[in-house]
Amino acid sequence: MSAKESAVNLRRMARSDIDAVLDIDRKISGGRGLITYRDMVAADPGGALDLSFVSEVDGKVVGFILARLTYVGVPFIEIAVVQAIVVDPDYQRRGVASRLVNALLEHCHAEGINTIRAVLDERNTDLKRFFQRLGFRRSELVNYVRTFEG
Amino acid sequence: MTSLERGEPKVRIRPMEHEDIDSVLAIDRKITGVRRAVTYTELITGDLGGVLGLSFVAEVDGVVQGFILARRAYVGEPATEVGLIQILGVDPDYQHQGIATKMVNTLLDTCRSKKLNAVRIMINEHDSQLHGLFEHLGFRRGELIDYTKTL
Repeated sequence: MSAKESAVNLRRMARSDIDAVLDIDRKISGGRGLITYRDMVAADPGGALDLSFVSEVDGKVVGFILARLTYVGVPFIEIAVVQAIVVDPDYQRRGVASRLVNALLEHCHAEGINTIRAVLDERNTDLKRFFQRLGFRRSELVNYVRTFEG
Repeated sequence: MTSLERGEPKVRIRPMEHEDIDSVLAIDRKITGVRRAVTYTELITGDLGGVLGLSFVAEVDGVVQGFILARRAYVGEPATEVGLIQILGVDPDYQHQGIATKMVNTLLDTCRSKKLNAVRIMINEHDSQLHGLFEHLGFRRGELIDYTKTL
């Protein structure tokens, strides 16, 4: 662990962050890239429904949370959905992800968005523990999926 | 108050349009008894590319009595493009007539023709009626669960 403890700055994601976001994504995925440029354009950082944040160290984006305001269910509820949390491997284990989630929570609180939701794989115990630590609790929602072959 | 006369109602499923928003909100109000803030309309109209592309309404004799709101999403690792059902609603007076099934089937056909990999919905694990509906439509329980924080 390096001795330098630079200040971590959190701010809303902007369109100009797309390249930095995709760089980190490629870095964590061994170059494959899990998120495409098209995804990021669709996410519309800084747009009306976007709730994404980035985390910067010395002016460099080292992590991000993609989140979005949406309406779901009957009856409809207004919720923030966490779509992805990614931290540059060189900056992991420093609480960057927790701070990103907390920035989202604070923002939602200020905006009167009372429900924040993350959908995750039930076998991913690390991720479950991460969200539990931040005060998330398992809801009664499960997913049903219809896949198309060929 | 509408009550159906005997005979088969004419159900037509068509893509949702901007002008349907009032009908959609009216059905939502009827189901929930809640009057939504105008921001709802703004959000839906502000999200046209995302939401309306995969959304449909069901008309019975020319009147909107049901809707399905769905959007494209990229999920999982590696990311696959799926259709995500966000909201499915049918006017209480028109439930149990196969309208939801028709709307979901239209969505499935559309997603298949657009080469999406799958269609997904999150539902309450205790809602056996919804489970039954989606299992009947060929859906299977996935491995995703939901963690929620309420402020």
